Amino acid sequence: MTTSRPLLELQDISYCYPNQSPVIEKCNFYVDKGKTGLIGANGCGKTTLLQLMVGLLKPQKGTILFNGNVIKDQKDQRLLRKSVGFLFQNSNDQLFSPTVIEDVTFGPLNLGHSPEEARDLAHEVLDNLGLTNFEDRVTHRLSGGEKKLVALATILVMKPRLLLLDEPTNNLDPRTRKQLMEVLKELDLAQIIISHDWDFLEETTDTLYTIEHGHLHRCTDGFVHAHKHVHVYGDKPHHHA
Amino acid sequence: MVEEPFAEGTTLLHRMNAAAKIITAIIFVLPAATTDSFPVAAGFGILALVFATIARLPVMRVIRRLVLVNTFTLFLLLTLPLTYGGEQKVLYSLIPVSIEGTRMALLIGVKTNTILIAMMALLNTSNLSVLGYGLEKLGLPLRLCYLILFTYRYIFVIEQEYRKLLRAAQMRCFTPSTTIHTYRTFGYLFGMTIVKSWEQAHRVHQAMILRGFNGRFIPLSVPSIDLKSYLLITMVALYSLILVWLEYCPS
Repeated sequence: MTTSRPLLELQDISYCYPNQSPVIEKCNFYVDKGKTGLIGANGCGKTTLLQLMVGLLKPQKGTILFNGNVIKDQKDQRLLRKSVGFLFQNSNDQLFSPTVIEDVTFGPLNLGHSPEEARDLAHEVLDNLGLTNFEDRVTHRLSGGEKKLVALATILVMKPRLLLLDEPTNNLDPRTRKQLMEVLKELDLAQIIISHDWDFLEETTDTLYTIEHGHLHRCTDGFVHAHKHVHVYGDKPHHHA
Repeated sequence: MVEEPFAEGTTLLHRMNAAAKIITAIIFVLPAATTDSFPVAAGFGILALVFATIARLPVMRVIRRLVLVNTFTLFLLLTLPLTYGGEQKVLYSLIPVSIEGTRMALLIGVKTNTILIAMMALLNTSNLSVLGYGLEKLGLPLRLCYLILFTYRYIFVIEQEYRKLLRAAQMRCFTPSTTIHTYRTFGYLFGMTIVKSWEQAHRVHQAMILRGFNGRFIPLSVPSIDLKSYLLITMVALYSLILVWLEYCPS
């Protein structure tokens, strides 16, 4: 029975911060495969939703199912977090080790890999992301784009099945943004991407959701194009190559 | 930006195990700091210079640091002779100067410089992160080690945050002066920096939990204490013992 259930499922989830009106209300949602975009105004609850998914916040109402099993205690959460990677908005929050290799091996070591295995896994991921020879770099001296890619490496090295990305293109220059776009498109794992970057979402995701007044709505395809353009065909229906 | 100019290098002391260097430093500092004799202090001074030579410390940088500390010892040299009391000698038939006080101020000066040079050669030749692991190996409580490691990692970020806020204030024509407005503004700046740091600490902790952290760091590589380390510790211990013996058992 468990095999037919989606990877992660939210059922009637409600959440509100103390002394505020609910941010998320009776939200139903599931992810299994594919790439989902999440767009919406500032403070509408996008980040809150992702934090609920990985158990950083506890919903006041509703249940979260992982592989068809209800998440009840710490043990379930640890299992969930092993398979769900979360890329934070600010890479400085994610890279806390002095050097890149120490940071990338942090997860695998926690999962019980030996130092040698952890090192091998880290090299593989760093190579795949074009970060060969980065291992001895000092994390706080990396550029913003490099930090973002290393932060992604620290998550991919744990071999997650679902990747949550919170505004990944924030403060990235066009080149790094494009590089990140290519990396995400290549990755064969489910993704949920929060972004205000319409073009980025249109490139990297298949379905798009928005949150309004605590409710999750699926956007129609036409909705994706309701934005202003500075190039010649901005006023006509078109696709971004 | 906090820099570690002495940490990069490939000399014997740079390659030495951090735990061994910390032990050596303790063996050196305790007798050097407590001695009451000039010859013994000078003996430690010579050893400190030997360390500095082995580590090939850049001379100018060392002097710059020493100057900074010696402004403090200079202050002692100016005040102690006048305030220490005891046997006195009158200079220019005007100022009574305490002989004991002068001796004391000079001894403090010698010891300060000796210890400082030795610490630069022994401890500053390792990154703080390596020293943190070294301390853990020596049995310092994990929490304290993590405190050191995280301070090292985030002091830069916190400093940047503070500078950002300060720049924002300066952009709106804030010039510090001795007014209540200035004090209040700096109060806000410090307060805001603390709030931001706290929030960041919270997010870092979340990120660590998401990657399976359960309260214990598993170090990637543990450098072993090799024969050279034991040799260094033994030699410095013997040297210190001889100096201490010279001080307390004069034949």
